[in-house]
Amino acid sequence: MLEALIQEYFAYIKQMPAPLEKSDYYTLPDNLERVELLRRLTTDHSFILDPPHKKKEEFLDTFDRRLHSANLVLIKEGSSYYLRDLIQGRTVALLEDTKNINPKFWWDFPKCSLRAEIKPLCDIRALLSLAKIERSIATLRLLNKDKKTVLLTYIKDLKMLNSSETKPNIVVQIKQLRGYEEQAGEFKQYLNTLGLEVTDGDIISAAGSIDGKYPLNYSSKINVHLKPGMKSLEAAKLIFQNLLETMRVNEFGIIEDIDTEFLHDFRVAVRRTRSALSQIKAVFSLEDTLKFKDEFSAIGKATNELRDLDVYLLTEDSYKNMLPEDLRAGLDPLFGSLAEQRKKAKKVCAEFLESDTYKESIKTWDDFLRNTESDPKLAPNSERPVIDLAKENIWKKYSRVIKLGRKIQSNTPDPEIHRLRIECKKLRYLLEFFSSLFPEDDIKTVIQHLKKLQDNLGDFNDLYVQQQSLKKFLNQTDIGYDHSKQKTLAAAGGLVSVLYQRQNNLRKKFKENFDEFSDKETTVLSKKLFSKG
Amino acid sequence: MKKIAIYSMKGGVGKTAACVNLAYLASADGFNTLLCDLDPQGASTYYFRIRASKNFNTNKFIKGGKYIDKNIKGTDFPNLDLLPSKLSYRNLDLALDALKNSKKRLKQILSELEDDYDYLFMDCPPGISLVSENVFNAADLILVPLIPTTLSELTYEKLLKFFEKNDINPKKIHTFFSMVESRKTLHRETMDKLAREGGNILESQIPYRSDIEKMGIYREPVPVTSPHSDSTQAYNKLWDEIKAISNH
Repeated sequence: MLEALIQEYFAYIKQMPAPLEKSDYYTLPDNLERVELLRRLTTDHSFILDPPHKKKEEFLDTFDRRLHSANLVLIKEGSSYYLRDLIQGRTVALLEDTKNINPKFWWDFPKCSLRAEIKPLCDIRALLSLAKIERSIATLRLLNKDKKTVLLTYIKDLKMLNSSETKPNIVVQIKQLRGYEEQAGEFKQYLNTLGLEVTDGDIISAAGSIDGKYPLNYSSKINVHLKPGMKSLEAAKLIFQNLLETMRVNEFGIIEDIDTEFLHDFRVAVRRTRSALSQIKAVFSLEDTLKFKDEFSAIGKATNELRDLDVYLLTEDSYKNMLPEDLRAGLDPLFGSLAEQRKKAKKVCAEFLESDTYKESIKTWDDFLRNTESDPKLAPNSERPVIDLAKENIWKKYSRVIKLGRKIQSNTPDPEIHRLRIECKKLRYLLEFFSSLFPEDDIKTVIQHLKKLQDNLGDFNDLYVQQQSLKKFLNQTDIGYDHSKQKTLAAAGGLVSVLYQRQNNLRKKFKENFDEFSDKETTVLSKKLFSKG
Repeated sequence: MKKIAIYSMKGGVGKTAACVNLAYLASADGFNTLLCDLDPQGASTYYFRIRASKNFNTNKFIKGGKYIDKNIKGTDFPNLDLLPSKLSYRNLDLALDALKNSKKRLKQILSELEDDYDYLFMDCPPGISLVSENVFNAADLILVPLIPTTLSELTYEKLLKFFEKNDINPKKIHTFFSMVESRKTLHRETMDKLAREGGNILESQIPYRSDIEKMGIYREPVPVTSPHSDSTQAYNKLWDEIKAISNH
C-alpha cells in the first residue's frame, strides 16, 4: 500500500515544473551506498566537505492544494514560514520566528506579506500539514587550482517523518555555478560512469503527501472518462463511484471540523448522486433507484442544519460591511447564538457520519455499484449506449430550461424563478456527468453560459433565503432587552432592506444573462451536440 | 536594481575592500547581487578567486548584452555573482571615447541586467576619467571612502567641483571614513572638521584593521574569515545604512 503511494507521489512530483536555478538531480544505483559514494567522490576529485546539517520541514497546503495550484509551496521550518515559488525557485514571502502561533487559516497569521499572499488563495480553506520531511545534507565543494568553488554537490538523505517507510532515499544534487559550466559538464559525465541516474527533481520541491488521508489530486469536480459506446449502466456506475469517492475523502474533514468546505464538497457529491439517480433514468431497477434515493435523501437531511449554519456564519463579515459602523455590533447576539447552535449541529453531524446507519448505507451502495448487472427487463436503459441516453436527457432538460426562462418577466413571482434555478442546476449536473462524451471546447462553452445564468439565479435565491431567515430569527430568538435589543432589531431590519434591494437589482440583470444563454450561438451549438437531429 | 559605485579619485583608500564586503553582505541579506569589477587591477576579481575568460576583453564589455551574460561568474556564495575585470580595461577610456554616446554607455550596458539583480556594486578604478564619468551617470549612489587626512579632503572637494561642472547630481555622493585610526589626532580632527562642514557623510566608519588588509591572503570577504571582528561589525553597520538610503 505504502509502496504504491510513494510511487504515486513520485509520479506527481514529475509533473512539477523545474525550478529556475541550474541544478541536476541524480539517484544512486542499488549497488552504491551513500558512504561509498562519498569515498569515491573525495578520492577522485579535489572536494572539500562542509559540515553536514539537518533540516526538518513541514509542508502546508489546503486539502485541495490551492497553493500548489498557484505553483507555491508553504514550508514551516522551526518557527519560521517560507512561501516559495516552485517555478522561479525563489522565496516569495517569509515570516520568521513566530512563537506561539499555530495557524490554521490565513487569518491566524500576523499581518505580513506572507499572509497577504496566501489570503486570496486559501480563502476559507484550512491549512493542513501534508508532509513532514527531514533531510540530512552533506555539501561538497569542487575546487579549481585557485581553490575557487566551481561546483556544489549536495548529498541529501530524505526521510518522510509521518510514514513508516525506512528505505533510504538519497538524492544527489549538482548545482553548477554561473560561468563554470564546463567543469559541471565534466563532472556529470563522471557521475554517469559511477552509475548514477538522472532524476526529475528533489522531493523537497513539492508539497505532497504519502499519507493516504490526503489524496494527491483532490478535486470536487466530476472526473470520469466515458466512451460513447459504453453501456449506460457501466457509465452510470463510473459516475456514481466517482461521487462516492468524493464523499468518502471528505468525511474526516467534517468529523474533525477542519474547515467548512469538506461538508460543502460532501454535500455537493450527495446532491449530484441524488440528481443522477433521478435523471439518469432506468439504468437500475425502479426498486433499487427508489431505495437509494431515500438513503441519500436521509444523508442530505442529516447534514442540512450544519451547512445552513456554516453559510450564515460565513456571511458575518459581509453582513456587517453592509451596515453603518455603529449598527454592526447589533448583529453580535445573532451570530453568537448561531455559533452556539453550530457547535451542537457539528456534533450531531459528526455522530451521524460515524454511525452504523451511515456506514451501512455507504457500504450497501458501494457493494451495489460493484455487483449490480444489467437487466433490460427491470432496467430498460441499462444496456443502451450511453451517448444516446446522455443526449436524450440533456436535450430534454435543455429545452425545458429555455421554455421556462422565456416566460420570466420583471413581475414573475419568486417561486417561479426558484423553479428555473432548480432546472438549471439539473441541467448543469447532466452536462458535467456526461461532459467527457462531447468535444471539450463545445461543452465548455455551453457550461460557461449556463454558469453565468446560474450565478445570477443562485445569488437571487441566496438573497431571498437570507431575508427569510433574518425575519425568522427576529420572530423566534430571544435577543435580550432594552437598548441592545433595539440595536439588534435596527441592524437586522437594515440588512433585510439592503438584501431586498440587491435581490431586485439581480432580477433586472436576469434577462441579460438568459439572453446570452439562449442566444443563437448557444442554441445552435446545443442542438448540434444534444438533439437527435 | 540599485546601482552602487564605490569610487575614489585617490588609490589605496579601502575601496575594493568596501566593495567586496558590502556586496557580500547584500547577498547574505538575501538580495541577488552582482559585483562589477571595473578596475583593470582586478583586485575584487582576485579576492573571489575568479579569472575572466581568455576571450573576454574591453570591446566585448562595451558591446554588452550576451557578451556580459556569458562572462558573469558565480562566486562561492549564494546570490552573489561577479563580472570579472580584465587588464585590457586599462583601454576602457579609449574604447568609450570612440563611441557616440560616450558618457552614458555604461548606463545602457547595465540597464540590461536590471531584472536579474537587486543590487549592483561597481568597483571603480581610481582617477578621474571617461570611465569615472560613465560610472557617475550610471550609479544611483556613489560611495566615496575617505581617509581622514588633508589630502583626502582636497580630492573630495575636487570631486564635488567636477560634479558641478559636469551637471551630475551631487546628491548621489555619500562618503564614509575609511582606514580610520582613532588614536591619530589628525584623523580625529579631520573627521570633526568635515562633519561640521556638512556634506553627505555616513555615520559608519571603517577602522584600520589587519583582518581587512589580510583579505588578499585569505581571498574571502571579511565577514567570512572573521565574522565576529569589529571590522565585520563596521561593514555591517555601513551596509545597514546604505540599505536604508537605497530604500529597500
